[in-house]
Amino acid sequence: MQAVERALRQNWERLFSYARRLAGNRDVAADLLQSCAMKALSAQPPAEEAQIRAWLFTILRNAWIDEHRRGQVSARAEAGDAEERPWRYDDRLIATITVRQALDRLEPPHREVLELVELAGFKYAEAAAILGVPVGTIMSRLSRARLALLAAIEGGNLRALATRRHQAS
Amino acid sequence: MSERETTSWAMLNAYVDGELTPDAAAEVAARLAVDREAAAQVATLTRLRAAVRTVEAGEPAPPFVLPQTLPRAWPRARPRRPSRAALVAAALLVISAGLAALGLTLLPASPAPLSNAIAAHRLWLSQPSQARMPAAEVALAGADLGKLPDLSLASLSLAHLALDLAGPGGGGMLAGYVGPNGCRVGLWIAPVDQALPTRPALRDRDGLAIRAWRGPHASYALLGQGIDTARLDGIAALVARLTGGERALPDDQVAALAEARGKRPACLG
Repeated sequence: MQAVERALRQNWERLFSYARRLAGNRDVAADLLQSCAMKALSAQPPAEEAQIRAWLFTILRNAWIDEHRRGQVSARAEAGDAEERPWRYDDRLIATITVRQALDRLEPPHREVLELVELAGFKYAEAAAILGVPVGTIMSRLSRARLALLAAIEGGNLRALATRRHQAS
Repeated sequence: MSERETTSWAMLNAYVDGELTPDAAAEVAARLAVDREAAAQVATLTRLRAAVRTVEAGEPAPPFVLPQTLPRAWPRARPRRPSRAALVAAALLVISAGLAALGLTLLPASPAPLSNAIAAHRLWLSQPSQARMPAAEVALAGADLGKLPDLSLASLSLAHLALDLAGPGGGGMLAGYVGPNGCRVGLWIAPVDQALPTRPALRDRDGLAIRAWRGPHASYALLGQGIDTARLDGIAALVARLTGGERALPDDQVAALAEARGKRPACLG
């Protein structure tokens, strides 16, 4: 149980960030985090301490599904394939501020996989276990999420300063 | 792999993420040396990945607080009107003062603790259900004051609080919880009774399903009328953990809690 408490403490900020991405609302995210902690402390953790971190994210996600998304299946993230399009993205648009805005415009499944892999730092296999999908699904979902992120960056109203200068010149 | 597969967008993503086997990564790297568009995609991915990782959470997380103290310590971003929990907290303050004055926490365990618990529970059952617990409803009669557990995991919320001084041996306190279907579950808290086991044990009597046990600081009895016994067992295990008697709930009991509240009928009480 000490291992669970330690993992909760160490991952508290990141779990909240994930909950915030799932819920889109601070209060709901805080409740979700509370529920996650309660369930984690009530359950039998994985035997290997290294697995507890991913287990906590799984609990949080399941709590979210149980409480807020029961019956909903997100198939939207699996639809579409942009691989046939020519490469047309402008790297100069990619900056912290444009990325932050773009993340907020993504579909929840795209935000979720980016949160797990990019921000929480999980490997594909770990993210697959958390989301309950095959590793191949993570691979394709993540690649689509990044395409969607690039599209959202390009479609955003805000432009990085360097790009404005470039366009003005 | 074909050239097309080697430089597919998904494959390049996995390459940048370090998720390919050494052989596959070497194959992609070799292809990038001659495929300018694929190389441009990898450059974009690398920059995008770096930028995403610099994005901090938009707002700080709530303070780290273990669930035992969460209900009282959990901050809220927006102001709220006084809730039932606030009224309960206010009532508990009044009760604490009364208990301190009466020195009831030093009283020995009642010789018939379950009789007191049953009487207090039946009294509560005889009262009409109420959406809110007014502070004035709390009967200041006396008992040991334990920390009231948050039973939201079992979909139960605190709705009633009553103290019973009149019982032999010092009485106790009944915390009444109500489920989403109106099911009432009473948690009786009394001075430590060494005759009780340290884990929730079946003590059904007088038409009530009862699980009783003792913790390090108090004795507990969980009471319900017509409640599904599996659900009562799950709630008792949860309470035992929250009150310090039992730290871990087995997975199957946690699952049973969720299943019971979703599939089984509400209790009669």
